[in-house]
Amino acid sequence: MSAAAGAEVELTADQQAELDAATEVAALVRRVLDGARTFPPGHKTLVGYYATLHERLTALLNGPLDLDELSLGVTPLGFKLFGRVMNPAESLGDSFTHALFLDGVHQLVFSKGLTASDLETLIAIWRATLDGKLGDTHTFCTRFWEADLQTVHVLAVETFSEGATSEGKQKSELQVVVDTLSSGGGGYGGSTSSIAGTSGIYSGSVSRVSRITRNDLEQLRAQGMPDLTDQDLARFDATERARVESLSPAELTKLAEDLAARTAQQIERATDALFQSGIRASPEELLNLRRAFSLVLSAMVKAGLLARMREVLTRRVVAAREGDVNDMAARFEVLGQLMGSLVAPVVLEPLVAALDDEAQAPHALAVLRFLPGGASSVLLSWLSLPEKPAARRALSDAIVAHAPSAEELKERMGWADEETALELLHIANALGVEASWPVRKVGLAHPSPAVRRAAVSNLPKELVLAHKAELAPLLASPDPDIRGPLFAPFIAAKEPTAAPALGTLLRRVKVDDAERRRVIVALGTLGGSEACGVLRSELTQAKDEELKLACINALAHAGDEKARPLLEEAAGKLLGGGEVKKAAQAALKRLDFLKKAGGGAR
Amino acid sequence: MSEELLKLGEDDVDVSMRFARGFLTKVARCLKTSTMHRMDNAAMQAPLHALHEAVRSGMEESPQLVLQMLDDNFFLNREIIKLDFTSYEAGHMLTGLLARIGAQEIAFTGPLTMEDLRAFVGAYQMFSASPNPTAMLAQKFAHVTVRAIPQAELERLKPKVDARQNVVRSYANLALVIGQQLEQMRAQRQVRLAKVRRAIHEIHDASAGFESLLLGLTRLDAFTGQVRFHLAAVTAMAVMMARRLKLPRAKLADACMSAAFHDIGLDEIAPPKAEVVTPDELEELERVPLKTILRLAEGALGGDALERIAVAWEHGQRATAGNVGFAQLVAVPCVFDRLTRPAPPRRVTLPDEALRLILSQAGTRFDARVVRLFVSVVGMFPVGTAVRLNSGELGYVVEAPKDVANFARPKVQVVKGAGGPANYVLDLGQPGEARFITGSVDPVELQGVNVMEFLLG
Repeated sequence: MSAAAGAEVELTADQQAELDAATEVAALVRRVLDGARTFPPGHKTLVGYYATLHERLTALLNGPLDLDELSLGVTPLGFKLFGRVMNPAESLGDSFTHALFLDGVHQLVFSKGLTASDLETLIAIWRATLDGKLGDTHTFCTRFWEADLQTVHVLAVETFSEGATSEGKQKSELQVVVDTLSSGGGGYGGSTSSIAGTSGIYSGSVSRVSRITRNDLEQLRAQGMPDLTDQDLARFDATERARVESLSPAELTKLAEDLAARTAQQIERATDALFQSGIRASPEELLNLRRAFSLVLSAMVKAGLLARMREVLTRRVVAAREGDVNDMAARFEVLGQLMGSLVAPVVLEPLVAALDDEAQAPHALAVLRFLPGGASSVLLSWLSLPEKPAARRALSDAIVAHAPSAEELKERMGWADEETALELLHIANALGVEASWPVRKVGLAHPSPAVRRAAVSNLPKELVLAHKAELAPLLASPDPDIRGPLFAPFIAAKEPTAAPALGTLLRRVKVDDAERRRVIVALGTLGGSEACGVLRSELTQAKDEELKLACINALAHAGDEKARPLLEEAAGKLLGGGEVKKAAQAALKRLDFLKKAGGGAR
Repeated sequence: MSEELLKLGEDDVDVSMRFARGFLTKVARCLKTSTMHRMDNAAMQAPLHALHEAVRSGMEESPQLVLQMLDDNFFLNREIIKLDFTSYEAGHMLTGLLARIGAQEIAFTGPLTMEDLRAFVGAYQMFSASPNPTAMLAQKFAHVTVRAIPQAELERLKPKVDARQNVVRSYANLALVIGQQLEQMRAQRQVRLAKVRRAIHEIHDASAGFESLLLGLTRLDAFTGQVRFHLAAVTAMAVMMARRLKLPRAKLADACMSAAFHDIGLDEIAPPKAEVVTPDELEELERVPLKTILRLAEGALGGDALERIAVAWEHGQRATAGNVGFAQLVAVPCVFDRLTRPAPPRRVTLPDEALRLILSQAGTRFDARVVRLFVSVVGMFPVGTAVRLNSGELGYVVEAPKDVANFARPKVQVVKGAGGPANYVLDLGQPGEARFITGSVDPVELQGVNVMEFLLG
């Protein structure tokens, strides 16, 4: 510390001993706090740290100094005792007491009989404070107070000066209120009068005191009992005060348990509260209600309470159908807001992510079914969120139930990643073959081969032929899984538009001999100048005898007169030729026959 | 020491606290620099200008800036300065600097010029280095005073620990803190729930052993009709009920947090114009739970917000068998408070009448056990009720019965005896005491008596 502090007072031997011991305690506290950040609870190193601190504090409190308590001042720099800051921090980040000091903690007191559990609780709260994990409803002081520790205490100072007043200084609002209350301001029983210095909006008004009569029903309903009835008031006349009996200790205990037990159902109760109160909501309030619903539901999802969420929603649907018919429309309006709140990102994102959890997935899917109509668009936005294929597929199936438009699927297909695109195709197929075409068509241009393959898989013959112009070029695809599914429909229909692509396939794509033969046969079946040109070229270039045979047979089948010179060449070979020679001779005979019959190349 | 450093870790403190810390730091730096450099040294200029600017800026908000030291604490205009890492060090430095001249207070009392400031700091430089530094306290400076705080004033500055006054202060603080949060909600700013929680803790601690005083405070007509005081009264009564139940502290705080926000929608209702409620007003009042819930949902939805939302709705509903929760701990005091302290000019129901009505609804609207609990806390004639005894004496209830079997036999401050004005306390619960309360009376009959004097006695 660089300060020119006032002269420090000499310490007695006992004080010095206490200071030394406290300095060691301060170091051990720091070690435990650091350990609590580094090690998980129960880790043997951390347990050792706690034990050492507890032992040291216990030894100090029960030792020769015979202290009833060890009271450490809390400063932003560290602990202080006898005006001396022990092991002062050199930077803000280095200080473990700064956060406590800012919360008003001025002293930390360890009492004789300090328990290990109290110490652990203190450190847990302290660590959470340093890590900023107390949220906005708690500070160190509030958590500490509620922990109700018996052997550790803090002195927290909100303000020292509130009691002080001085001339010329305007009194604080608190002081005005305190003075008014202390002077019995207003008295009792409705004789309210103007109170100086306050902002009371009712100042100056006077209320009349009265006794309750049977005519006061409306009045009483306005005062906290909105559904009070005549029958209720009838009981009032008959009630005698002398009959009241006090609660026995056992009844008190049971009541305390019953009161606290209900907090376990707070999610259901909060949803009910929103639902019931929403029946009176204006259109504007309904919108706010939806936001409130989404906050409650998101709390539910974040807590992993999907099974309860499913129950709550189911119960609300049932409740909306039952009850007073006069309120039915309003109930369904609120129900719409409740279900509509499911599409809020704070709800839907964790809900969809839960599909990856096998235990939660069934409940998440069940909840997704509560989504309102037209929610497919929102759901599609989260299609890429699940990591597991099964989870993605489950989400896709859920989207199918919301009947998304093919147009939207098509738009999303353009920029979807591979997994998403595959799911989009799955969804599109579920919409029907014809409806799926726009999506498949975009899928055919997707950079992923898997998507392109999926786009052509299971295409019915009719659809292939209906879109032959777009699909025929794919017969030349280097990917056998793309050209394969298209081959049969084109050839079975003897579709001449296939010939150029098949020619391209044979010329440019390396295909195995079996497929090559199959294509050659197909070209023969298709016939036509384009197909025959390809076959002639193939015959010229083929080295393999089997392929030559296939070409010759195909040309014969097609009746290609232009192939005659090639066939004659093959048939006239003096040496070798074998099967090829025979096939060429047979092909020439067929050409002759066709010529006589008035045919020719088809 | 830069402004940025001063702001470290201060997200949760308000602007005035930040100013106070900065001001303290600037005073310390200016005086410290003067001990190292001559006044005409260039190094003096920056601290002088910084302090001059701080004084000028502070005086826009307050006519004077009084910086005081008491024990280890610093106060600016009597408000404690919660020091942070940087200002703590500056404060420590300032303690030493002022100790040299025997001072504990520096006050800037008027429009300070740079020359005034130079004269003051120059004098400090001279006196602090002189053999008789305390002589500076006898000097006069333009718009600056420096002095040792007299012992009597020091005593006044120290926190007062009068237990009864502490109850009053805690209750007032609770109401104001709740009110602040309502304003925060209205302005759509962040709600500081931890402050409310802390105020609940304080009232719990302060009221132990002073339940009658707290009850008396909740029943005062002062501030009647202000929602924050309705919420504070219900919260205070919930604290007492929860304590009687021996709820664990965390549960107690949760229940009372729900009480503190259970009817915030009332804040949006226009004040009543007539004694009798109109159908339109009734309809608007029926929408209060919705308004409350929407506001709660708008605010920070921390872990226990769901409980608060649930309670905001449930406390207005009938209790069904076995379906009892913290809402019941709120429902009974809420109805009691709204009946006995309605917003003027609505008619006030006498407290014993209100209790009889609540008793008549035990087992239907209210959980019967909670009603019995409530009666055991407030008694059949709550504190502040004007009563007539069978002997003809008139008085005010000043303490609920200690023996819960004697709900209807509290301590009464008799103010009117058979022969005229009187001033004595009767404990009707004493064995052998034949006198009993025949009923409540209109407080108008006892006008001029200040019950709070007896309660604070």
